[in-house]
Parts: sequence; C-alpha cells; structure tokens
Amino acid sequence: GGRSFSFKVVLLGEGCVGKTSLVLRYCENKFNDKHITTLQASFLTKKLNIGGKRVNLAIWDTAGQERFHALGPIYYRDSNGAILVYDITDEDSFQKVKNWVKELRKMLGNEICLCIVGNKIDLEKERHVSVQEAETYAESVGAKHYHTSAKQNKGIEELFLDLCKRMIETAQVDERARGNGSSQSGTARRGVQIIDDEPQVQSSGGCCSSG
Amino acid sequence: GLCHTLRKEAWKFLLGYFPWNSTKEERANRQKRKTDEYFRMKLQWKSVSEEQEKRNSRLRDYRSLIEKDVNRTDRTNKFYEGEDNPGLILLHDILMTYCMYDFDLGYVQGMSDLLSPVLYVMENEVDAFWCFVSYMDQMHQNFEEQMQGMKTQLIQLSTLLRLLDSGFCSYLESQDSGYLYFCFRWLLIRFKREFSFQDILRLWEVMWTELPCQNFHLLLCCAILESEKQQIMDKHYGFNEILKHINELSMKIDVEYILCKAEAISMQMMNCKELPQAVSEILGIETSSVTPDSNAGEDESGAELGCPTLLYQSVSTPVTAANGTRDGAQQVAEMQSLTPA
Repeated sequence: GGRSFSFKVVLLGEGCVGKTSLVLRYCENKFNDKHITTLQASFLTKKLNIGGKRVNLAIWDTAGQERFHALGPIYYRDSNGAILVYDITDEDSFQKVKNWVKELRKMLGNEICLCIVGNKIDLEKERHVSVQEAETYAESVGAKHYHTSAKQNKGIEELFLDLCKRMIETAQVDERARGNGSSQSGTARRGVQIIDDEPQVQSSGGCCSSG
Repeated sequence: GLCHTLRKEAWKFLLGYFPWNSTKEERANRQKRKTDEYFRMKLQWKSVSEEQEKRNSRLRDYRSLIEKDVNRTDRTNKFYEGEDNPGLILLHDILMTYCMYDFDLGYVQGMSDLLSPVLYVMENEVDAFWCFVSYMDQMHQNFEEQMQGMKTQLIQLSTLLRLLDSGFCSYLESQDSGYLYFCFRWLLIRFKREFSFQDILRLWEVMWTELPCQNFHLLLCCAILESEKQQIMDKHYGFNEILKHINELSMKIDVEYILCKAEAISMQMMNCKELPQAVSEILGIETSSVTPDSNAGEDESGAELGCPTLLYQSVSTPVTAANGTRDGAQQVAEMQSLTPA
C-alpha cells in the first residue's frame, strides 16, 4: 500500500573510516578524499520508494574519535538503524565497531537494525581485517555485514536499501505486536524501545542523557 | 582586526609567548631558548625507531590520527594545498612535537584546526609551535578525557543565554536542546569551522585581547543564537532541525555583524544594575564597580535585558591597524575597542 515511513539512521565508527564519505556519496553522490574531520554530528535526509512504500531517511553522521564518544547517545537515541563503519585497512577501527555494538544493544535493545560496514574496499591490497572474521562477528551479534567503497561508489545503495527493508519489517512487526490500534504520540520513535525508566505520560520537558 | 603584516609579531604577545613588558633582548633570548627546547622535543619523536613504535601504542595512535587529520585540514588554503606542500609537513611535525610536549593529552581531533591559522600567520615552525602551546593552554580542557572545558562552557553559555532571553531558553528546553549541544563545534575549536579563514584570524585576535570582557566568545555564541532565534521558533524547529540549522550556518555568518552584536550584548550586561553573580563571574566583570555615571540603564528595567538595544558607551581607544573598510564612524569606534591598543 501507499504507506510512508520515517526512519532515523545513525553512523558510528572510529575517526577517518569514511562515515561522512558514505553519507555524502549516498545522499549527494559526491566524493572528496580530503573531507574535513567531523567534529559535530550532522544530519542529511534521503527519500526513497521501496515497492510502493515511501521512506524518509534521516541520516546522522557523527564525530569518530574516542574522545567524542560521550556524545554518541545524543545522536543514536531513537534510532531505528545504525551503520557501524570500519576501515578494512585498520584493525583497530574494527575493534571499535565491537564496542559500539555492545553499547547499542545495551541501550537500545534488539529493535535497532545493525549494519556493520567494512569501507575502503578500493584498498583491498592493504586489507587488515579478514572478511571471514568480520562476517562471523556480525552474524554472532545479529547484524548484517556489508563491504563498501565510498570512493568507487560500491555497495552503498545496496547497504541503505537493505537496511530500509529491514527497518520496514521491524516497524511492521512492532506495529502488529502492539495490536494496531495504539497510535503512539511520538511518531519518530516507532519501533524503538528506550530503557524503561520513561514515565507513562511523556511530557515535553527534561532532556537527553543521564536519565 | 590587525593588518596582516602586524599579526606575526602581535600574536606572539596576544597569545602570551612574549610577555608584554619584555625588552627586545629578553625576547631574543627567550626565542633562542625556546628554539633549542623545540628541537630537543622534535628529536624525541623523530628518533623513535619503527621497532620502538610497535611497542608504544599511544604514540602510534597519535601519529596515525595526526597523519589522517593533517591530510584534511584547510587543504584549500594556499599554505596547505597540493600534495607536497611544505605547510603539511610543518603542521604534522608541530603536532607530533606537541605530543612530546604534553604526552598525556597527545593529539585529539580538532587540534589541527587550532594550529593551522597560527602556523599560517607565523610562517615559522618554532614560533608557531610556542604560540600553539599558549593557545592550547587556553583550550586544553576542551580536549581532555572528560571534556570538562566543553561542559563548563556549555553551562556558562546557558547561564548567559538565560539572562538574555529566557523565553528562547525555555523553547530550546522544550525541544530537548537545552544543553546547547548544537554549539559544540563552535566552542571546541572557537568557531574555526564557522567562518572563512581570514575571518577566523580576525575573530581569534579579538578574543585573545579579552576585550571587552573575558569569555567574549560566549557572547559571540549568544549573538549568533539571538540572530537565529526568530527562525528557529517561528518554524518550530525540533532537536534535529535546530542542529541542522546551526550546522548549516557555517560560512554564512557575517563576522562584523556578529562582533558588533556581541559587543552590544557585553555593554548591556556591564550596564545591567543587578547582574547575577554567576554572569559577572563568567565575564570577569567586577559587580561592585558597575559605573554609576553610566548613561544607560535609566530607562531599562535592569532585570529584563531582552533584545539588544545597542546601548553603546562611547569608546575612544586609539588604534593603529584598523582595516578601514567599515562604514559609519560610530561603528568604527565601537569595533576599535576590540583591537589591541
């Protein structure tokens, strides 16, 4: 049917693995291998149509360095999907992905769709993260694994399309589980469970973090 | 702002590399001493062998981050463009040497943004390093593990904004944005990404004068936010849209306008009869010395500052290096008070 969905997707991962490049390639089909370091989260949107279902994606790009880790929750809360990016030539960046997986599962539970993305496959010759290891790990945590190259525009459309399909599925399952009728007020938080200290009646005040 | 040829000398004083009251000879001695010290520290990382570095993960991480960031800092600037630009090597070497100067902090993303204009002005490795060290003394806390500097500044900014415009503060709170995280980048690297390179040179030297008050950069934040308030509230922006809107102001803010507006706010605050203690502490204003002969404030309620009404005091600081392109004598007078006398 002609339904429409709005999803929030957040990109996380170590500095300089190519998060901004992935988003810019996907949303604006641009590539610049000397893109400035992201120091503050930014936000891009993309509309797509999947089998008659309209999807509005809000994609959040974040700062990567460990030092800015504390800002993560501000941007990943209410997310329907997370794209955890590592650089296939950088073993450390893959370890950082594991930390993000743990944190997201703990904070957002199983309803967030996780994608683990090995970027920079144009540098295959310098690969330091084995395909086997990455894929096995992804499977073990209920995530899907993808390989991309923002530089050569490889695998990116597929990644987002696939993620959207999974988020639609999750949203529909979630809706059915709720027994249809309940039209939740905060539409953006469809399918996402925030940790349970949230009061029944959500008021406007208060703020994020440190509940 | 200063004319460019003066910057190279003036910044050394403004940043505190040279004491204001030093003699020419003292400065020459200091420079000589500091040159030796710099090269001693530079040699330290230069002489680490590959084998040693394998066993030093922190040094390895610093180096890898620096290499990544140097490669993408101000690459459209003449001083850093192209593949084999000597500016890139200087940027790299100074940041590596800074790791040796302060190994606990090492390198955190954003620091290359702070160094780049300093190096551009100094055109000299040693001077740029020591000026950067002085600048980092001010900015250090922003980059520390707990980012205490960022937390403090965000709280201070919120205190100032509340006094200026409590209605806007309440609106931001209602949109989950009361912590002002959307100002993070402004504060982390002092607006470096929000203005053109040339504007940043001007803006930074104004801030280093600590005139008209300390923490003037927070008033710049207030001035920008005041300018955007209308749109944010009229369009009823939420958390996402506010952040997006603020991010997209980058390179679109008029530096002259915002400096004037921020100074106007500072004047208002200084003339405010019952300035809250917290505010005067942030701005370093002596509450007891609130001028009784001030011509402003008579028709002001004092409590509600509201929208700036441009209550300028007359300012008459002589200045040697105004860039002279501004219109209106009054405005020139106002702005000159921001330049170092």
